[in-house]
Amino acid sequence: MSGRSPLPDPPRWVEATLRALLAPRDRDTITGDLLEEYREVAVPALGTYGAGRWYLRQALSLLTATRVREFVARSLRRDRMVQHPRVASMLWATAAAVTLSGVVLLLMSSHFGPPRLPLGPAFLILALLALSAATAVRSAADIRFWRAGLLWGGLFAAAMVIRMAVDSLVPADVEDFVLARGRSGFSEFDYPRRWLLGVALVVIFLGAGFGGARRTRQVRTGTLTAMVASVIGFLLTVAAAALRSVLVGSGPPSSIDPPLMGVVVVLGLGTVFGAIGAMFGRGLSGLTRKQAAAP
Amino acid sequence: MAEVLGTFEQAVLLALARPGTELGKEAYGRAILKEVGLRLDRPVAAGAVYATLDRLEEKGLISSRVGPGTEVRSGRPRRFYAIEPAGVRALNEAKAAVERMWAGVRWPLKGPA
Repeated sequence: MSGRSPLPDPPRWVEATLRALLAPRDRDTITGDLLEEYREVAVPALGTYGAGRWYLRQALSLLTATRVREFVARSLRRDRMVQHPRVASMLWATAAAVTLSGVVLLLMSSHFGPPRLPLGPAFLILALLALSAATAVRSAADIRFWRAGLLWGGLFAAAMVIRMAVDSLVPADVEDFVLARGRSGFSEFDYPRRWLLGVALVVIFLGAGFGGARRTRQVRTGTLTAMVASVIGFLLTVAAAALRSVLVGSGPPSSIDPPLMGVVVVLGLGTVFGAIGAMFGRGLSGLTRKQAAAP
Repeated sequence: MAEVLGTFEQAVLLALARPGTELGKEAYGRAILKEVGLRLDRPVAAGAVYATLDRLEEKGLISSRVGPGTEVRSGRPRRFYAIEPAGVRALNEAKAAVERMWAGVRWPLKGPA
């Protein structure tokens, strides 16, 4: 369309980016308007450099959040999800499986302790997931998520309370574990107390994300459900720990007393595994709907 | 009840509502952008005008058709916009609403002494 011409052209990369982000119906008309103004008014008045800056400003004014969102929606939903819903669902499910495998390998490599990750990128990913989840809330009065998170939050608290009870009744022998790690043939799996609670929490967060996304067909809704579940679960656990202190005194220390875990860690776990569960939920939702629609 | 219009939407619709003018004959994006800037007496970003045109078209207040391009546009087509009866109704309603609000108020207002 824009062949070689003696007329000046705006910066190519700006125009190419703009064309990529505009809806197909606007691609030629809007860039045509800008090109006309650039050549007839901007370049004579501002020179090539000034006109290039003018063009960039106009392009930026067109790249609103709405247009970027529409671009992403076009790329993901219209081109793939609407036309090939089954393929899209399988892609979601595959992405979920790959991500979950990666996270599990990471945890195994760190012996189920905190994985060694660069903090900056890790927090950035968490923040992006949380922001994306927050967009699922339509208003302050939207209490669906609190309701959906209540069940999973309750399960979270139940798992924590059971663990605290076990720690109180049968205190963990930390020394034995540390010595055993140095022996040949040591296996983490011989010490289920170290990973069983973690696995239970992961399953709960995966379930919360899965359930939320499966109902709504939105990954962000599933992530938000898991985040809400983690906060509710944490608060319930704190309440349970306080109740235990009142009823039976401090008792033997438990390695998972709530203040040690911290709401931030729990929320981070809820966000990551909730998002993975939500991807599974989104994938399965598309696959089952397709099957239901088939004759 | 006609659509409730914002100030910017009114400026864009008014730019299209005068068929006798040059713009009325050739109301494509660039010309509308200039006219709206003149009406509002301030520089207007292209993004704001195109977003408003999209919104007004979605509401059924304006319509558009694609016309041929010119050499200076490297042959790229122009999208011409025209106001629809619903758009005219919405403008009339907006004007009437402002007049109702100002009825009985002496203008310009005097601030507290």
